Amino acid sequence: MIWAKQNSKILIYQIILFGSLLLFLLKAIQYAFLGSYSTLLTSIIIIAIFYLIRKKKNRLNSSIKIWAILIIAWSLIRIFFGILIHFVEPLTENHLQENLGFLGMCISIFFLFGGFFLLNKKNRNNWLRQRV
Amino acid sequence: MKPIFVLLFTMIFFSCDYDMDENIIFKDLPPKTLDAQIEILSVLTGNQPMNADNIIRSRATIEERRITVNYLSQVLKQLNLEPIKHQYKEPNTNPLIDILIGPYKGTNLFTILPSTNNSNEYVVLGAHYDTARNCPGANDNASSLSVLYGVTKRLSNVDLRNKNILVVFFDQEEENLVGSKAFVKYLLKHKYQVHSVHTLDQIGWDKDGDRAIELELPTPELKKLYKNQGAKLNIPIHTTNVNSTDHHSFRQKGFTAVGITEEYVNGDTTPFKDSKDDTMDTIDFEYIDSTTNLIFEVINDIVKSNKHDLGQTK
Ligand SMILES: [Zn+2]
Repeated sequence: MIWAKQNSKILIYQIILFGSLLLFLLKAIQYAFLGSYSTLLTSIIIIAIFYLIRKKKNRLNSSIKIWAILIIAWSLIRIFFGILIHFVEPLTENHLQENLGFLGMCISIFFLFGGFFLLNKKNRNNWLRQRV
Repeated sequence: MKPIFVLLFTMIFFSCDYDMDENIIFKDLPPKTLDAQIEILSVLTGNQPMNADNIIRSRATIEERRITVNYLSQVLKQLNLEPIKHQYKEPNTNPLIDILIGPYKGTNLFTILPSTNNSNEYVVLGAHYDTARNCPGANDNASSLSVLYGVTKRLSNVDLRNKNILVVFFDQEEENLVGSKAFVKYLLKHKYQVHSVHTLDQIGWDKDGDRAIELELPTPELKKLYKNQGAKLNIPIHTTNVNSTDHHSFRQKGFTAVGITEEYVNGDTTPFKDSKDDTMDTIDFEYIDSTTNLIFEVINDIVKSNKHDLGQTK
C-alpha cells in the first residue's frame, strides 16, 4: 500500500515535470507561429539542458530546483498582476483581464502548487532515486 | 510515457476554438438611414437587446465582442453584403510578456462593396467596435459604426463605383491598435491594392453645433478632397497630427491613410471617453447625419473618379 502510494507520487512528479516543460514548449511553438521566436529559443535551451544532464543526478537535481523556482515565480507574478488589475485603473486592459481573470488565476494557482511539488526535497529525491 | 500522451491530447483539445452560431433575433432596421443609425447605436450601447437574451453593457470582454461581431454581421446582411470574419492572434509587445500570458485574440469584421466595373482597387473605411471595460462606448466608438452604416448604405445605392469599397470593423483598438495592425498584415498578405484608408473614431459630440470635423494626418490630396466637400456642405474641416488610433497602423506600413474625428484637439469632444457615462444620450445625431453626408460625398468622389494616383501599398 505504501509502495503504491509512493509509486503514484512518483508518477505525479513525472507528469508535472514533463508536463510543465511540454506546456512551455507548446506555448513557445504557438508564439513562433505568430512570428515571435525568442520564447521558442528559450524553451529549446531549457529542454536541451534537461536532456543533456538527464543521467547526472546532482545536476538534474539542481536543474529541477531552478525550474521549480521559475514556475513558482511565474505563478506569483501572474497572481500579483491578476490581483492588481482589479485595483489599478491603467492596468484594466481587457487582454490582461482575459488572461489573468478567473480561469487565469486557477491556472496560476495550479502551477504554483505544481512548482512547490517539484521543489519539495522529499518528492524530488524519491523521483530522482528511481530515475537515475 | 502514456500519461504524457493523455496530457498532450487534453491540451490540444482545450486549445481548439469553437465558433458557436449566435442565436440572434434580428428585426429589420428602419428604412430611413438616420433611424437605422439611431437604432444601431442604441443596440450597441445596451439600450436595446442585441439578441434574444443579451443586453451588453460594453464591448470589452471576449464574450461581449463576440456577440457584437454577430450583431454587426446581421447589420451588414441587411445591406445585402457578406460579412467576413478575420480572426487573428498577435504576440504581446514584449517576449517576456509572451511567457507570462497568452497572445492577443480578436476578430475584425469586414465586407466588400464591389466596384461596378471589376476594379481591383480598394478604398478602405474602418472603425473600431471594441470599448474600454464597463464603458457603453456610444461616442467611442458606436458613433463611427453608425456613420459607417449610413455611408455604406448610400454608397451601395450609387450606379457607378470605379473602385471596391472595403468596410471593416476593428477589434482591440483600445489595446495598442492590435486589431487594425492585424488587419494591415491581412491586406498585405493578400496583396490588396489599396487606394486610401479612412478610419473613424469618436464622431458623436458637437456641443458648439458647428458640425466641424478634424482630419488626422491627411495627405495633401486627401485633405483637398475633404476640404472640397466640406466647403460644399458648409462643414469646417480642421487638420491635426493625432496618430493614436487605427489609421496609424496603416500609415506605418506605407498606406495612404487618414483619421476622421470630432473636434478632439479643438476641445469640442466628449468628456466621457472610456467611462460608464459614454452613453447614447450624449450623442448628437444631427452631427452623425452631417458627418455621414460628408464622408459619403468624399468616398463617392473617390470611387467615381478613374484616378489611381493617391495611394499604394508598400
Ligand atoms: Zn476609439
